[in-house]
Amino acid sequence: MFLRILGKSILKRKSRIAIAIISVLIGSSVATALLTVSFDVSEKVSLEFRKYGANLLIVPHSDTIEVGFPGVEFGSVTEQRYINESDIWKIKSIYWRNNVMGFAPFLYQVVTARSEQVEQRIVLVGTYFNRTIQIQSPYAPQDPLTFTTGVQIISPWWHIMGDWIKDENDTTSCMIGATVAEKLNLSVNDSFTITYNQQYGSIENTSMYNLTVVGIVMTDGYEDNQIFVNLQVAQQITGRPGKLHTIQVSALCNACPVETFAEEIKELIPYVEGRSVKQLVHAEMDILGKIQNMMFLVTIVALIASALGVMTTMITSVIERQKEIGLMKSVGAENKKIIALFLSEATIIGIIGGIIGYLVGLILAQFIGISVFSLSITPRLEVIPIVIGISVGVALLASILPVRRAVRVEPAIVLRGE
Amino acid sequence: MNEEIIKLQAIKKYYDPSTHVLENLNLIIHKGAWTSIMGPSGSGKTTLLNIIGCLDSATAGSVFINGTETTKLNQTQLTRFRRENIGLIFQQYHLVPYLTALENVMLAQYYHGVIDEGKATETLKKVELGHRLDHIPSHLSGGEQQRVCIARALINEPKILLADEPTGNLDQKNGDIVLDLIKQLHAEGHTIILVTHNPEIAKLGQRIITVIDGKICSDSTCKSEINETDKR
Repeated sequence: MFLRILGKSILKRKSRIAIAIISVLIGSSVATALLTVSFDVSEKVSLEFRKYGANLLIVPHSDTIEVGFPGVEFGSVTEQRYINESDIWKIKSIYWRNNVMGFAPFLYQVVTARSEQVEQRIVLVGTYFNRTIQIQSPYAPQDPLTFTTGVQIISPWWHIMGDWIKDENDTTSCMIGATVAEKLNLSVNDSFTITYNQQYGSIENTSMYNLTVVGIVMTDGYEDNQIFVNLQVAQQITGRPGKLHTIQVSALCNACPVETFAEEIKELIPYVEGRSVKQLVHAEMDILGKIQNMMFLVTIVALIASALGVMTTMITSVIERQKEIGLMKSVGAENKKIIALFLSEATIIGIIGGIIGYLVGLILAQFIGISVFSLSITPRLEVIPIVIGISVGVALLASILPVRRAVRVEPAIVLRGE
Repeated sequence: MNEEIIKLQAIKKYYDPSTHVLENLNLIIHKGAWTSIMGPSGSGKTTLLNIIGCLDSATAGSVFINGTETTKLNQTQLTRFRRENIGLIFQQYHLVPYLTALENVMLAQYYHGVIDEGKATETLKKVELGHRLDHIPSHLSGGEQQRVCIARALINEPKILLADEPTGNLDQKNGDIVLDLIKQLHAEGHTIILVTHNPEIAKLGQRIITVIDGKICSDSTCKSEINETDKR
């Protein structure tokens, strides 16, 4: 009988119920959009941020010795140390290996570049562009034994005129920064020479190499002033086989602090230390935090608007149904039956509003994802119970005042004919 | 027949200090009696009916119904007492507009805690609405709606039936049908209290009480008792 009364009372007042559902729908759709965007984008934005470069720098640990005597300081002397290229695979065998999106080794040396009549001192950078390395001892047996990584993976945002160096055994090709290209008056497919003078005590050994430009790098950063070659080319030119200066790691640090990666890498390669690119990490967290705070505030405002909408509709409903409520009481309805009727209506309004709001919210989430973050949003099923719970909660909360008013309706009002 | 079923002692009802609706009213009604209450508009007769029907509470005084002092009951207890002891027939019928005739009768059963569709059907047949079970109030005539109201009042077998202008909104023909039903219920032993403006309808009762300015200014039974005393 209760369901009959409930069902018919809802069907009788379709327009009022529809207004209440629309009120809930507004809040629930915004909540869905923002929860979905929050869940999905925070992960995807982390991935997006990875596109803008590494967030962890691995360098060899070096001891610094202060030179001088009491009262007179000459400064410090730091021993030049390197990372062994043979250890690089270990970065992909830490506990958080799946969050290591990529890494690239770097070996730097200032060389002299000469093109026709122009000569410039420029930083030569040896690195991996897109190289598949062997994981010699995977963390877990089921882990893959190879990993493709390099600058192309961790810095896909580089603008390249021409092409990347594709062959990891290519020893004659190079990529040059846009400023280098301008200074040396070089274009793609042009050739130039680099020379490197190596001092062995009083003996000076000069190496000279011919390189062909396959791509020009434009980043508006320091890369514009560098020449990039395969790592082994730089090792050979500088006489440092198997050595490198730094490794840049792109770590997905959504679930854990980037420092954790550094500590884990240090456990496997004890002679290195990790330095988080804090500015970037903090900026990333800051932006995500601000986005989430803004989303939270908008959701709260939307839910308050929903609650007010539902409350207004329910109060109007109670006023319209005063005689009906009085009649129910006069024929024996206790207050709990009246409360149950109104709260059940509110629950149904909340559930329907929540479900429709979820669907509308997905569309809104896609719009926000594409227009704000340039990302396609993946629907999150875990959002459904949250949104329906919020919608029902808002509808019930908004019903408190109307229900109190309904409870206060005197049955005598029916006989008085008021 | 002489068993007291309703007893009002020094009943006062004030809505605010300056509005005295009932003033020190005393009344005894016997089981199975038909009492008609008359009086001009605003005299307090509906308030009196509300207090007897446990729909309203007295500001002062005591009300005993079927041996229970209802003035000492709280709202929930009053609701329970009302649904078990009192049937209400309204001038405006007051049916739930979206429920059928049958469901309106079953509504009273539902709040009483015992739903019996068969009994509800039988009761509607008793008021000659067996063919209108599935009609909603807007599809019924005024007389038919009032008969649904009577069926709803009867469904829980109350001892007392309170009727507030039951024929006030009906034409002569439908009014007669409803009055015939009330006569039949009285004949079956129900205690009837009927509020009316119509002296002809009031005369159907064994006793006519006239309420003016919150006081009983005439009581036909009392008069006859007084007359009988005078004769002696």
